[in-house]
Amino acid sequence: MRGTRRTRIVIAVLLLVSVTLIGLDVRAGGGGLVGKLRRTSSSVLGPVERVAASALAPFRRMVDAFSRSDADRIRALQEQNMRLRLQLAAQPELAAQSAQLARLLHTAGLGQFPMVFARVMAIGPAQGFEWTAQLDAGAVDGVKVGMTVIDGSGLVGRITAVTSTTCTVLLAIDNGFTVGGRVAGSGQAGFVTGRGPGLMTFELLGTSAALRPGARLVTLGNDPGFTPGVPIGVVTTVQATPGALTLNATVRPYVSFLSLDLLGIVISRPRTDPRDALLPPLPTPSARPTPSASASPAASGSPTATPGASGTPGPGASPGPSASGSG
Amino acid sequence: MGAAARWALTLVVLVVAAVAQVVLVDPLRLPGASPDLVLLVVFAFALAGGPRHGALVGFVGGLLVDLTPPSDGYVGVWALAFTLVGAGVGQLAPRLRRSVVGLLSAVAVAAGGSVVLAGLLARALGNHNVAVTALGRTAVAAALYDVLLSPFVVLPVFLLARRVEPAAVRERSDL
Repeated sequence: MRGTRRTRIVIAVLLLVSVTLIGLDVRAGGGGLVGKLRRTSSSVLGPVERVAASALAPFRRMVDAFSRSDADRIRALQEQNMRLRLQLAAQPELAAQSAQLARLLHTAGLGQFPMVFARVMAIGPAQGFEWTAQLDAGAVDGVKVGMTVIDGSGLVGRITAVTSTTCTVLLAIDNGFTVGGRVAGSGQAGFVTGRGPGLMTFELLGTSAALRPGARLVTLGNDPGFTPGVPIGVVTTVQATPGALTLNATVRPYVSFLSLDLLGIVISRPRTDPRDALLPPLPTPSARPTPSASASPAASGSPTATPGASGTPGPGASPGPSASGSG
Repeated sequence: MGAAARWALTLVVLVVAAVAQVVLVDPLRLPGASPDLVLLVVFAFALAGGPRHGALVGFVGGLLVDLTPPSDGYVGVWALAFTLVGAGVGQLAPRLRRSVVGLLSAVAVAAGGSVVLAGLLARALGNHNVAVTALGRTAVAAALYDVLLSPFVVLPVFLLARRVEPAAVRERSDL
């Protein structure tokens, strides 16, 4: 009987402590006693995860165990590959740019962001309630809170916590992630927010601006420490709400967030904004997302040719379509 | 084995489970949900040690889940959920130890219940990653994975806990 009562008291105290911790964390917003507790646990468990992740690396590659030198060589090649992909992404767009913009791009160093490379060691726990990852680079490598994280295809997230040898990145698909975004080829700016796996939303400031599906977004780089010109994703649908002051769009991110491995942390802002140079080329080479209305008929120029082509196998009595088809 | 040594062993098992969770299990990105190793360890200790010990192990295990990097949620959410799981499982332990069906159902309820509880709590605190409409599906998937994993986690941890825990027998008479 006494034991049962003591048990109840212990359980009640534990529940009370849990609720108190939640309350303290909510109030302090990452600081205070709970923040200290979190930093302590990160600095203890981060290295443990490092050891565990490197021990499990061969298993996670899901192929036969690599020797150490092979793993290092592969990592070096992956790093090189990522740099090359970023540089390659700059090429087609660059050819189409004006001489002035090309000069700007050259000074920007063609996407050669000063980067630290890091591997994903651990993925955010708790049933998709959080989209975070732990990386194997930390303060000793020059990583600081707020830095931009990218991979070969674009924006991955932002650093939210750093220990000496590890860091935490908040993925761009987390609902708590928001960053300034810009429509490529124009100055239209707004906010991009994470909405879970494979989905983001873009809130364009001002409804007068034309925004079409297929428009590509890059980071604006207005937040201190955040890198401009990093590809974010492609607009898939646009919802215009009558009377609203903003235009909302859904965005499909370039990065595949479910298979992150080697990432780059941009450790210092590039000297010049790379603008749109890092975006992957559009599916149709002629269509550049410009706000001018004349661009769309000119780019799709073929509608007059299609009826002509379908008309030629016909009776051939009407000279109109066949003439336009042959001419 | 002294109480300090028992707790050290318990802590080691919990830390191994929490780290294996984020390094090994979560990166698999299984569809629907992730199996929850810490929950299964808490379940096993509660099954062997009764409600008081179960609640204590649940609290410590939940706190570890809250604090293991790259965790980003409010600290205390999983501690609260797992304290209740530990206390509940510990309370029902004598009955659960008698039937396999009852045991597996309890794993399913504990897994699904902790997901729903922690999810609703996180949502109430402003975490928009939690879609309340999808929470049921996540809970069912988590319950399924945890039931499938329980022979490999609950059983060995339970045997270990009972070997080092003379309190198990004592607490059973408390009920």
